[in-house]
Amino acid sequence: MKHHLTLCAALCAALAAGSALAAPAPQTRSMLAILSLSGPDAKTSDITAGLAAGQGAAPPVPVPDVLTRQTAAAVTALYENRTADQAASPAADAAVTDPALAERIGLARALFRVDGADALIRHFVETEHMKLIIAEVARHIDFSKLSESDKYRLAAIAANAQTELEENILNLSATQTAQLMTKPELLQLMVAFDTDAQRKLTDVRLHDDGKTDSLAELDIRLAQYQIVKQYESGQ
Amino acid sequence: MRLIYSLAVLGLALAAVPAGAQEIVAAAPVDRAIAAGDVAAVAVAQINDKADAAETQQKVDLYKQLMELNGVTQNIRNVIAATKTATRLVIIDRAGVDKLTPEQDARYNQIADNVLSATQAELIDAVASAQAQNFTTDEIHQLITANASPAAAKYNAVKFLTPDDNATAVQNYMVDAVVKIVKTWSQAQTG
Repeated sequence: MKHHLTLCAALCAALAAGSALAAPAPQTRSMLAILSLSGPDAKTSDITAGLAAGQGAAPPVPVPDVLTRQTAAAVTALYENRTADQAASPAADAAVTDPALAERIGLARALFRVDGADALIRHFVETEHMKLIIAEVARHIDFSKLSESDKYRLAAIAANAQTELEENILNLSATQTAQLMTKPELLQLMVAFDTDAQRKLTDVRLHDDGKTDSLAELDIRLAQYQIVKQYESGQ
Repeated sequence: MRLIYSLAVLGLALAAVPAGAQEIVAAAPVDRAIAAGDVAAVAVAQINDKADAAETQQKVDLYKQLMELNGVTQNIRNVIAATKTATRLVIIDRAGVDKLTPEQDARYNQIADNVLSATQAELIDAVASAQAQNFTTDEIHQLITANASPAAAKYNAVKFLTPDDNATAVQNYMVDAVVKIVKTWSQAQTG
């Protein structure tokens, strides 16, 4: 329910922005954003996003340009009556046939719930990935023509897609973990991470205000300027 | 404690704060008779401040050990390495050449490593200072213990194994999500 409401808020914000949403040049979220060597952006911390929250646990965020091209191709394929599965088909849930592996994947998912990775990944999907997804959807559905009830229906559809995305990413991580870890190891960690201190850490990460990230970005840009200046002044 | 935190994080504030502290001392009336108890109280307060500062620093150092174990520091190292790579491209681009000569490359490495090792230490310190204050020393010890086993080391290392594959997979999932939303929506409209 909470997910639906927050998503609705995000969607409504996007709806309010209306067609203007597609207008500003998409920002590159990759590490290479620093290539531009432009003045630091006060509101986004592209290079260091999620640094303080422990990015190891955070799913990667794609570059919007690339995402736009891919979604455009996939949606076009959809209207050309090819199946969406054909157009964009990651081996999302290739059926796991090894029962021992399947069991370990289940244990890894349980471990994610204990150590907070589950909550963190869902948090990142909700705050980062869904923002991009809604912007992409806005290229194909004209939000300005929607009635109030249409907007709620679309928000519900998007909330559903968000849940699926979270499950896909969690299963991907769980599969990688399960492939490299034994059952006793997973069980051992489930006990080891089941502490109030770990729950507090998860809480701290979930409520990270991004200030450390944006200060870190300043540090990195400053370092870049220093490097370029030192290098060029010595020639 | 708060002051120390903001000093560590906001290098910019460094210049302003000592000047402010100086003013407060100077503004105190110098000719006022001071009771012995007042002096003692001030001395005790100073000792407490020092003890607080030492404890805070200890916690930050302990928290850095945790960051080393749970992958946060590794992640910062990755960002620093990516910065080094990206900045080399900036230099190549600005010089209008295709690539650096071995001598230039060696010089670049030296300059970049020198600057970025300081940046890396700053970033680690910033995260540790910001987060350590939320925990007691005991709690940080508990977290370190949880992350210290060979199983935990393996678990924390898995997160860094296949970043490119993961990025591709996540992107495909996102394309799927967009397609699904548009498809479900259009079906609902026509159906």
